[in-house]
Amino acid sequence: MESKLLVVDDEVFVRELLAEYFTKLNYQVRTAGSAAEALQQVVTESFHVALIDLRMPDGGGIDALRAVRGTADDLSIIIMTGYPTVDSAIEAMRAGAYDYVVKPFRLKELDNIVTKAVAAQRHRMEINQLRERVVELEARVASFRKRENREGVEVGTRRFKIIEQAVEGEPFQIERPALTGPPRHRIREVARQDPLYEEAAASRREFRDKAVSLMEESS
Amino acid sequence: MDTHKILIVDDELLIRDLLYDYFLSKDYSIMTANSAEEAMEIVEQHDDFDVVLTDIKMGGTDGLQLVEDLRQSHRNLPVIVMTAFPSVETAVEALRKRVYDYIVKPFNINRLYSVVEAAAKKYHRDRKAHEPEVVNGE
Repeated sequence: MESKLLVVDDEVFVRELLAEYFTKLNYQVRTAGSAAEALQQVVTESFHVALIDLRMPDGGGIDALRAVRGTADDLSIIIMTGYPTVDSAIEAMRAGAYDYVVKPFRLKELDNIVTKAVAAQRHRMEINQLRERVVELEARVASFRKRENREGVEVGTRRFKIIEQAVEGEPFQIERPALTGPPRHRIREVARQDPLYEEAAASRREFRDKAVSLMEESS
Repeated sequence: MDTHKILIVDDELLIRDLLYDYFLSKDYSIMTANSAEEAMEIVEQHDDFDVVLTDIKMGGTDGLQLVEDLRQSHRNLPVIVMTAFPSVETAVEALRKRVYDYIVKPFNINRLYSVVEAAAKKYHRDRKAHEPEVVNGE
């Protein structure tokens, strides 16, 4: 899939140079000459990476970064500057920049950074999708719990136990110290009626891997 | 009020002593390490720090590597790095490793204190909020 890049710089020369270079590398490139223009672009189109100049007449690149990030939260943003300072580097990274690049730079170096930034954006997008999926699974667990109660099956699980077990790969077969009432096969019977069970069994490995990376990624 | 526990990591004895005395006067519980290696050993034995304050440039493993090593076992423990040799590169690297703050030496001790205090308070609060609830006697 073609990666989409937004170049934001008030200097026409820089915009054109970067647009030409990255177009040759098969990126789909859009340019903006100001923070306001950049914001318009991200509202109407989605990008993988934005390269934003730190100093622009209509406001600092950090304000642009915040504004753009507020609209597209998984976008990777790289700040570029010809006037690097430790303070602005800290501010940019705090505001969520993926990197802070000092001009003049070698185009090949910038290409390496952009490539990594694209991968980071894709990873973040997957994480966000997984988060949504976890929320969905939680809801299913809740509905399963309701059924448990209705049918008088007492399993003594804690919240997320079902997800945990799905992730571990042995749904509903783990020793339960709290299990006193119904026999285990009865619990499995009830569990198997739940769509969560099928789904968990089918995508167990994928879900576990994603969950691990989600845990590593989220702070 | 809860006492906060800080680990101070610096290979300069003078800085360690200065910070030790200062944080003692602020009722902190303090441990010090003269290297990243020693810091890791201490953290492995004591799991109750609220904040780590480390120099970047030290003999042996540097402070940025220490941050990375700490992240393996203590994902959210706030780490504040200090350096007398600030650079854009180390600042970007430090922030990418999710340090709580990047402080340039010589520092204003009051400002350092307010950063440490904010980090420790936040971690202390988050940790309390995430203590596992006991359900069904499990």
